[in-house]
Amino acid sequence: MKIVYPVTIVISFLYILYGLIQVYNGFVEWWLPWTGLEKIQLGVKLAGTYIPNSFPEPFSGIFLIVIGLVFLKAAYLYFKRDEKYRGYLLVGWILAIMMLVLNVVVILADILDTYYPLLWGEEVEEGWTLAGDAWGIAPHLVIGVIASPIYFAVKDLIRELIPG
Amino acid sequence: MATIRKFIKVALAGNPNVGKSVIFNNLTGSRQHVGNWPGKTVDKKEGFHRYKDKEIYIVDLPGTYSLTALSVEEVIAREYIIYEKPDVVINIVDASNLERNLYLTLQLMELGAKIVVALNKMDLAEKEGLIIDVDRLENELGIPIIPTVAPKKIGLDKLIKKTVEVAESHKYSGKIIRYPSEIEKYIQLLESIISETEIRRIYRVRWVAVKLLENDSDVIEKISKVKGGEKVLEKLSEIRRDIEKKLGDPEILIADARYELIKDIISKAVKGVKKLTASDLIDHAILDKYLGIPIFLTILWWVFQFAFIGSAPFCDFLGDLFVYIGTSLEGLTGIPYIDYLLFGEYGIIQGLGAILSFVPLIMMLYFALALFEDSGYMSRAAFVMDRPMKKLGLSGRTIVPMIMGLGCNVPAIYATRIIPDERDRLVAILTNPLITCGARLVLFSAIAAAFFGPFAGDAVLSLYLLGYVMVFLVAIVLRNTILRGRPSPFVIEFPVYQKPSFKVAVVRMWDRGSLFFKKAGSVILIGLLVIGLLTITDASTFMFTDNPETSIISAIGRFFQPIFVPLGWDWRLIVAAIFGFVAKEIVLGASAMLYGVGEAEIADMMASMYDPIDIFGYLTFIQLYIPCIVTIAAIKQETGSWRWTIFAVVYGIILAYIVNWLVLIIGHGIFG
Amino acid sequence: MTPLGYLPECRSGVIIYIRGGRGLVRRLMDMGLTLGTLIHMIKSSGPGPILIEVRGSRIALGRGIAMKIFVKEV
Repeated sequence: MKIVYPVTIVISFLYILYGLIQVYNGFVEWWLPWTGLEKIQLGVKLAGTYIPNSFPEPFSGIFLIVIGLVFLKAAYLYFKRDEKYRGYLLVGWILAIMMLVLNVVVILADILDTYYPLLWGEEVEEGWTLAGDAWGIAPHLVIGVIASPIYFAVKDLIRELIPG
Repeated sequence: MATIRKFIKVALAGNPNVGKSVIFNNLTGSRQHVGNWPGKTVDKKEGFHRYKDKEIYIVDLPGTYSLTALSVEEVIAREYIIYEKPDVVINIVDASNLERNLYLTLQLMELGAKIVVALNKMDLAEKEGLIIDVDRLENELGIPIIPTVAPKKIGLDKLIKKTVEVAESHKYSGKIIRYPSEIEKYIQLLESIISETEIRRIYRVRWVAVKLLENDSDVIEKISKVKGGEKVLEKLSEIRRDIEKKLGDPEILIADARYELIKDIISKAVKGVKKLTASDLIDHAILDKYLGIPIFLTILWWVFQFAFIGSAPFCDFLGDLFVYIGTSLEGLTGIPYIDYLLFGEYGIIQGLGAILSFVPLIMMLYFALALFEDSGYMSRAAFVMDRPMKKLGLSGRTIVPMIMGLGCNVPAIYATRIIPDERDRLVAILTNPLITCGARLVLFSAIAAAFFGPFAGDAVLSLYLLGYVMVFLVAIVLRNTILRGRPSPFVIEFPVYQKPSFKVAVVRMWDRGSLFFKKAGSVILIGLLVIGLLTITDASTFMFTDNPETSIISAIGRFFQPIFVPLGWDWRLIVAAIFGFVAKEIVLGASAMLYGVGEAEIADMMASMYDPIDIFGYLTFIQLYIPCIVTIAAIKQETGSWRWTIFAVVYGIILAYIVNWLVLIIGHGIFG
Repeated sequence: MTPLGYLPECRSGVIIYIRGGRGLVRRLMDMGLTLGTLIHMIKSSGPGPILIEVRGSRIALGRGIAMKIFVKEV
């Protein structure tokens, strides 16, 4: 499918871009608090926070960049007409889905963590809000959703991996 | 009137990665038990399967590629077959890897076992373009072959039915493997000599003859102890010399002959050519020269985020639950001694709660790791990390326990079983406690937040890095001094990638998690009890006291204080460290109690008494000194020696002391 | 005749000689690497272990071992 090529490049670019933003924000927040530099947010403002929320964590950013590089290599190999591009595309897709799931798990865990005292009738003073969540709807979720249709390009490979 | 049930003994044998565990689990379900082979650190899995009126007792032998005497697993497998004499050996063979798998099959046949082959992963073979003529294969080998697809339970009924059939028949048609005539005549010569001795009563003569020619050290040793064995061994050297002069190395000749035979069989029974598979394509990306390690680190990071953040609500919940139980039961018995011990703020119940609140974290960690193991990624991770690890004196496979140590050192130490080389394994076990476990993270985070403000994250991170740096340094030192040795050859098989089974991961998570829970629970309970008693018993009157300053434990702390003067500690920090010996999580609570303040205020209190450098030094000591008692118990179990266990404890304390001291000197030197 | 470590990717070779002690040779034999066996090199780029296909399965070997196995390219 020829559409795969530009889509892969876009996805790769998104991961690298938001990865860099997270790294920068992480530096500003953790290691250079005295410089007074502002964090960057690139997204839609909704419910008191940004979507995607580039929360400041350099490691998270680095690994988003890695995923971007995997997709980039897939695009590069496709360009060179090398069959091996499909492996990279599949690995990129798997990593993207993993990050998407992780983001969802984080949000669910935060919600559970806020409300479990209700189990023994205790009052919950501060409820959970999207803006108050450490991760919120992060690039992991947003770009993960954008990357999920890659499934159709690697569907047959996935089928091979399922036993039976 | 009791039903008479026939009892059939079956062993499962096969290469690693062929799906043996899946078949074992499918057959035994919950009627299984995991233990240890006596005297060895290898898992023994046994279970039962009911077939009509028969009870089948199944033992899952360790996965092996061969039946030589070179590895513990192989010795266990063959000794079981020889001495325990199972009625049937089910040989599980990977259809997509026939050539190599049949090597073990031939050796099992030589051993004289009654074999039924489960030809597993038939679906995979098909996907790879292989067409297997099962009937032809059966004819060539002379043993029954049942195709199976384990995850879907296809073929299992037929397998059991055939197994029972074979167990109950007295005829067994397995072909005797004939080697090329040049070798065959020597084998038969040896056979005739062996038959004249007592050996034939214990072992299968032909098997002994072949193994002797293969220079099998274990068989040679066992034969030498049987009457008439000496004579056989003498004749053996003669024969070997003869063969070497005329034909070459007998070991190689025999192995080659087996493979030739297999090639012949396969050419007759298997058609088709393997295509480039999804697995290969994935491997090209996963093992990419530049992206391989970054991908590995990404996956690692993912596992940690998933385990820590995902389990957090459950951990918090459990912690709170125990506090709730403790406080609501306070004053129940009316006897201050017991009340305080059991239900007090630092008593057993709440202490236990602090530790058990860990279990969700460990379970999540195990779950995530099991997913990756099952998918086939772990061997690639070891491959990718091997070279960097080698530079630091560790084997590639050490990476797995090093990762698990971040959750808890105890399961990590059990995980060192995957390291085949004994010395590598010992290094991995001895250095693992230096890795910051979850308990220490909890402690460090709390203290760092109070002391280091915006730099708290850095402080905690540097403690992690310190741990890892120490792991590498200690490993290098050990490898160059007491554990000197050539690094073991790195040979690892890559199974085909597959979608990991959720069920398998949950089972494994539960198995290992509950093991930890039981072990930790009992050991820590005793530890808490002892320390609790020491804290509430007055040193002079031996009566109850709720003032820790006069308790036995404070006497102990004060006794050791002079040693810790260069580190700037007072006796309370020493006592807190002793508490940490039981479980690291309770150090904070213990300090709070000793300073007579609540847990919320302890950090501020310490801030007023110590400066950040002193506290950081103390934290480095906690990071490096002796592991908690559960870890020590794990070390003892996995090394099987008190010597190494004591060594682990002692070197830890010394290392911790020196580093703490250095931190103070350098820190005060720079910052005054 | 060239050491396995130098066999280029996507090429095949037949083992003609293994230089090593009993233990190593035995270990390799068990995994299917015997004299006359056909090996297909899957991945060999950069330093670090190599990945080969032999007798239908994929095996990773340390470079040290790879240098002790000599093959003739086919």
